[in-house]
Amino acid sequence: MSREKKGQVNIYFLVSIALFISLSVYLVYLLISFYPAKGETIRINSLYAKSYTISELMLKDTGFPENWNENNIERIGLASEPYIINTTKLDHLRNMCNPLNQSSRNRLYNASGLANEFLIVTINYLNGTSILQCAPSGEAELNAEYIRTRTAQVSRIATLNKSIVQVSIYVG
Amino acid sequence: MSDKKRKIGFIRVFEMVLFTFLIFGVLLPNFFRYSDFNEWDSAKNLIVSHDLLFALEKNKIFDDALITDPQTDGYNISYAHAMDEEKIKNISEKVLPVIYDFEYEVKNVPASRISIGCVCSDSQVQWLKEKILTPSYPTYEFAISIVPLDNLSARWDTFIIFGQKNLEPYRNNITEMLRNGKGFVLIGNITTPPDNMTKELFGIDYSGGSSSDVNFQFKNFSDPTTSGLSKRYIGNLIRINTLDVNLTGKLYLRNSDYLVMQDPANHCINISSCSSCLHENETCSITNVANITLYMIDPLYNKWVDVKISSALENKRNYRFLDRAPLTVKSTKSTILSDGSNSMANAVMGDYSLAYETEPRRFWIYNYNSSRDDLNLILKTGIIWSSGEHYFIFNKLVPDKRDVATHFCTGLRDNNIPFTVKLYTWGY
Repeated sequence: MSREKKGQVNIYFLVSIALFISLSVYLVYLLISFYPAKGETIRINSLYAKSYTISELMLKDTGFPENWNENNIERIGLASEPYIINTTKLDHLRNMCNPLNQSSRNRLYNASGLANEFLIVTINYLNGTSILQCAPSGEAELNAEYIRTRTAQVSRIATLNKSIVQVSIYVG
Repeated sequence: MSDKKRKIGFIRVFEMVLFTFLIFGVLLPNFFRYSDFNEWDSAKNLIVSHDLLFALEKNKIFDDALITDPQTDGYNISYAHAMDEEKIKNISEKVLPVIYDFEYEVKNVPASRISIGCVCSDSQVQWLKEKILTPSYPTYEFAISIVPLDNLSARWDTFIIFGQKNLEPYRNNITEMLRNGKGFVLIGNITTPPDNMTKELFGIDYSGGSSSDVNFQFKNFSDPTTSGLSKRYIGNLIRINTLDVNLTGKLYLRNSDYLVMQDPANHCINISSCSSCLHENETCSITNVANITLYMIDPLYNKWVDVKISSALENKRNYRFLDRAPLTVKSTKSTILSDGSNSMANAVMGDYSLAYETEPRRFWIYNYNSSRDDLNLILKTGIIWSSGEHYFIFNKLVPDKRDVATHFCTGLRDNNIPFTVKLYTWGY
């Protein structure tokens, strides 16, 4: 009897192998799917930090030099005093937002402390009327879904010409 | 059973345990709900809440919305007050994400309505209504009713007690009110050594003595509590009734009375000792007495005029009072009115409550000559101050799990009285 069983595979062994292989595959799948997601989270967190920094500079800082323009800007800043946006600086920023002018775009990115990211700035009145849509790299052409999922957006509230405005910074 | 079979059985059990652990370890992540939620969502909400509070201050929306007054909002005060609240609500709704609800908590700005429990008689309530509890914006409504000391309730903002009483038997009831941030005002001469509760509540340091005609003025300008009263004093309103046919009334300051006569044709008032007819927001200076500023003339029936008074000296808070006062209480750090060594009024804040917002406020003043408008104004100031100056704008129930942004403002309409606004937000 015992000789007849030689060379045959035990059913328990088959089940064990099947379980082992499926669990191994599942484990590898988990690892593969887990780490890129966390990597993306880390990237988004880093973008949020940059976005927040830029928003702080824009709302609370005068920029450098204090009366900067698109030709001499070294650090971005739209405020004449904290939370009060200066219309002249806003006009200079608008001039730098032309996607066709690569040198002014680079100056804006340098002044914002960005290297490999893109930047979008929008300023609207609370009733939705647009004051500024600044997409120096032409990112406005990117679809809304991409901007929603792949950029870090920080919205701030400030004052422009005695009206409350919403300033949104997207970094991606 | 042989040893070999026993070992095989042991190994099987060992394998099962090992296998169970392995399965458990692999499937563990599925037992928890992981999501890609990051703390930035919450942080962004807090950032925008702080920004909103700054924007409301910078755009003077607090100046407008937290003070509803007829000069800026028209004569339908209740309606204007609702509109002011609506303005803050609309702005907040536009700024905050739609899934968030919100509430504002204000501290150090009087509420539009103050409810008062009075331990007193009907005639005293009537006197308070006529002479003291007239609008002083932002407070434009006072609700007052008589309460016994042994039945105080938290539905009142502050309690007024007439005359020196033994408060010790009511300690538990009073302490319960203080814990809830309710205030107490005592109007009465301290002629005998007070009980411990009275001493503790109103900071009274009894010395004993007689009464005398004395000049006294605000003291302890460097103390935030006592100096706060003098700042409020010069912003509050005295109502002068001009009910007779000639539209005249009297303003009693120090030991003199001044005739006040309306000139409806020119929409101004003539005050004896003032050279010109005063229009709204114009000031007349009576040498060595006071600066009198006309706030408003009754726009409908010419029955009253509201004025503000302040010192004619460089420091507007250096107003000097004159009255016959008992010199029985020593001047301390709680003293707001003093002739130098004696106290005529005390203001005490703190203790009993752990939260700044509900710190109870207590005010004591001697039983002054109630015909004096300048002294009536200090009582009015004390009553409003003792109400706690704390309220929620929309009266919503704020859940425990919420975010809070706090903003410190330097004052409303340049009154230099700091106040705080907290913005609570919570998601659905």
